[in-house]
Amino acid sequence: MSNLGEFEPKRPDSFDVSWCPGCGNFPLRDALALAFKKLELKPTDIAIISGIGQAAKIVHYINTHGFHTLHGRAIPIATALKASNPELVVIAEGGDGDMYSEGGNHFLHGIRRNANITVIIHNNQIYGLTKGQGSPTTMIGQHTTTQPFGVFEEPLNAIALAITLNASFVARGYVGNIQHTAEILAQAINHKGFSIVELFQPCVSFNKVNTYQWYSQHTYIMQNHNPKDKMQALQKALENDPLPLGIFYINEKIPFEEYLIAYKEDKKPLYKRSAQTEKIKRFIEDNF
Amino acid sequence: MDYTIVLTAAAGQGVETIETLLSKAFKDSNFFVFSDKEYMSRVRGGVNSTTIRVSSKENKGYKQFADFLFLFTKQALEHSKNRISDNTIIFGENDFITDEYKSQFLEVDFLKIAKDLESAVFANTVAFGFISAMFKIDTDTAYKAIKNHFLAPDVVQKNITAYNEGYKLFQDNTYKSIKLNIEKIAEKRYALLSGSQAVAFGALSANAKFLSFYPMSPSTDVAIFLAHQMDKFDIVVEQFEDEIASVNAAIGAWFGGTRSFVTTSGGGYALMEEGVSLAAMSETPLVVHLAQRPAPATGLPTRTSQSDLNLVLYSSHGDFPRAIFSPRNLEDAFFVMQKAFDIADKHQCVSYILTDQFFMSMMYNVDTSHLEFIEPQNYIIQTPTDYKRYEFTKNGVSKRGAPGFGSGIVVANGNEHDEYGDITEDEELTKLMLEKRMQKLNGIKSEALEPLYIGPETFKNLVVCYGSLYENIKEALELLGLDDTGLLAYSQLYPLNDKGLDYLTKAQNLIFVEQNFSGQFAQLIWREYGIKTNQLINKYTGRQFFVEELKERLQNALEGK
Ligand SMILES: Cc1ncc(C[n+]2csc(CCOP(=O)(O)OP(=O)(O)O)c2C)c(N)n1
Ligand code: SF4
Repeated sequence: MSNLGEFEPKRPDSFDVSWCPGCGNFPLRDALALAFKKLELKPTDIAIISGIGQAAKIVHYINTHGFHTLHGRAIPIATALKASNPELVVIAEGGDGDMYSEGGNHFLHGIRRNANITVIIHNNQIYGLTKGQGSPTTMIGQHTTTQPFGVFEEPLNAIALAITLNASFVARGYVGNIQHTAEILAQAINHKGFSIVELFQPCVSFNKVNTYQWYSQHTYIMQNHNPKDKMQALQKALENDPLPLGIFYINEKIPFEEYLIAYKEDKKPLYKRSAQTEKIKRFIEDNF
Repeated sequence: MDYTIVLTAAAGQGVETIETLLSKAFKDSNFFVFSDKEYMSRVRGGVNSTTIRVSSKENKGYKQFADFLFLFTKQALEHSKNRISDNTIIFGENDFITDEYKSQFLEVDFLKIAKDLESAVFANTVAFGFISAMFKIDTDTAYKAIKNHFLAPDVVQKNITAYNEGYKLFQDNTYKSIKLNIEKIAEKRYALLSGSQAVAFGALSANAKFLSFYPMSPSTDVAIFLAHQMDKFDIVVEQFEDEIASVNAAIGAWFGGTRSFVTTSGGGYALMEEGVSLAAMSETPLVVHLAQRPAPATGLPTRTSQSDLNLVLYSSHGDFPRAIFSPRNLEDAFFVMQKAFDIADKHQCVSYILTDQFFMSMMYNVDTSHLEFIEPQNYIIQTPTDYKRYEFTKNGVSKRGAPGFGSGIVVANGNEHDEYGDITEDEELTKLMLEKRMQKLNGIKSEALEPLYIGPETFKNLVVCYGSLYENIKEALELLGLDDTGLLAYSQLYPLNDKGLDYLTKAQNLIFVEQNFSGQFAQLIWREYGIKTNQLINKYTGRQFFVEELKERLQNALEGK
């Protein structure tokens, strides 16, 4: 059926893929599996926490641990999973509505908290699952089911926003180019810190503006860009047409879990540790 | 001996310092000490009061009438008028008192002594010295309390000087008439704990390793306390961006196999509801500590209430099993926290612990031999290949794996799912999965905590309560000394242990006591058993029922008034 290899799930209901034929989620999934292979990861090494939407269904169509959660809430769940078990490769995944609208606050604070997780935003610039409403990235003037006279709100530039917040890793790809997308994803997963990867993902059913052809014509891969240069990154992020692709910004800093005192001496995941009953007893008797 | 001291002051005057020092010194002098406070939601000004009860017996009730009332500001008298009986001795500066109370007033000016010493900030320590002298507290014991509190040697020294001045002041002729009957309590290993510390230690003992929260009075103290223990115990405490993130983070940690919980209040919990339903659908355990305050909306942030039972009972969309606890006192909180974690983990459900502001700020000597430890069980399995997260079982509980432990793939889902965790809309599976989840309620009910009954074997009247009202009602009933009246005190409110029915059905006259308007627990009993309460004694002013007040209200109720 596909070239996912060991990342092809074998569970009965996982074959019933509900994405529309031709949807950009298929090449996105191929790129993600390719990135896992590049990094020589096993399915049991990885946990994908997804929100709600067409994008978020990916946990059922790729063979890794998964938690299909709530609209917008993947980031806090993924953050805590990573903090409770730093041995796992943790990915938070969702659509543009999921991550930028319902989950917008978590996106901002996830950047600040800087857990070592990778956030993948399937950006189809529309709401897929709920059938064609405008999203925070829908372009001005586009007519949708719920904006029949055209969208007039300013689209969210998440790449620029993330850079201004000093995010640790900020990248954008287009799923029409699987190799390039896989390369970005592999680097993002490998990067220590909160890695944001926004992927343009055509929605063939509800977005008749941002098609495969449109993305091919309106994007380009950045050359000779220095991702350590914040101002250059921001300048690139503010370019609108054509839209640059690649790694915009890398800001090496200590991730959330490494600040946690619980891991200073002991690296064991928290669930493998037992209650400190004797210590608690002594502590109460000596100090209270 | 049994004395009640009330200290009334403006916020920012530092009465907490006196409370801390006195409580510690009383405890170390082998007195039983109980304290609590009521305070306004402001950082400066206003009027707050702290109640300290010192006894030679384990008195855990919240007394209304003060033996000694200390006024620290002009507004204090008006604020604490309801704490004055004919026997109350009132202390304060001359212009704090009105003619009405002159006969029971003794002038004392802590501030002036403090200013003479160097600075007004020492007024509290002067007061500490004064009260210490009244109770004949050993100087070394008092110095130790000062040292532990102020730490820095020069600050300690200055406070010891202030303390000595206060101590000397009490020797003045003015106070000659005050003679206390000092009697110590039998020596035991006591720990002076607060409600928030009892909850926090209960969680730690339950092997909670992750706490996510967003600050909201009166629940924040649990987080503050545990955050300070991160360097001593294996626990991660993180303040998230909001309650939505907090509850989802707790779910994320549980998904990873880690015991975790949230601490919040009604408004914060309202934001968590969607997350709770995710825990329910995905069968991820979850523990919620909810310290109640008057509502709706912002209500009264620093006041007390028992009005969120219906909130947790009916919250979140859909049908799912849950367990609701409300500890009766500190020892019970310590135990109930562990029980709540065990139930959540074992039955993969949501457990709530309902406390309130009064409970959070309550402090007393806890007999450490009464702290019950439950050995935390490990319910996480090493997953086999072809692991099914939601495998059908007889009791509805499927074996729970954690990602990365074993060779299986763990798929959890907030959508309806098949046994593997993948989305399904199959009609038969939808029915079976819901029945599987609801089936767990039977298991939860089978281990529900029995309510505590105190009273004669046969009785006519039955008083029913739960949570923080217990100690106060118990004492009120002791004062009434009735041989036809019993007390049934619940610490698990849902599902109910049916042993309580034995008592409920026997009563000719049922009286529920609650700190809410509509009698939420009485309604629950009615819904579950069809038993209607005859009378409801309730208070919803944001202030806790006093022992004396309860005594009167119970007496009136029993006399049919
Ligand atoms: C709290 C909540 N509000 C609304 C919804 C309905 N809803 C489901 S998916 C979705 C938006 C989907 O768009 P996006 O996140 O961009 O993902 P896509 O389907 O396009 O991949 C909405 C509004 C929901 N499930 N939960
Ligand atoms: S609706 Fe759009 S995003 Fe969703 S599967 Fe179909 S094409 Fe893809």
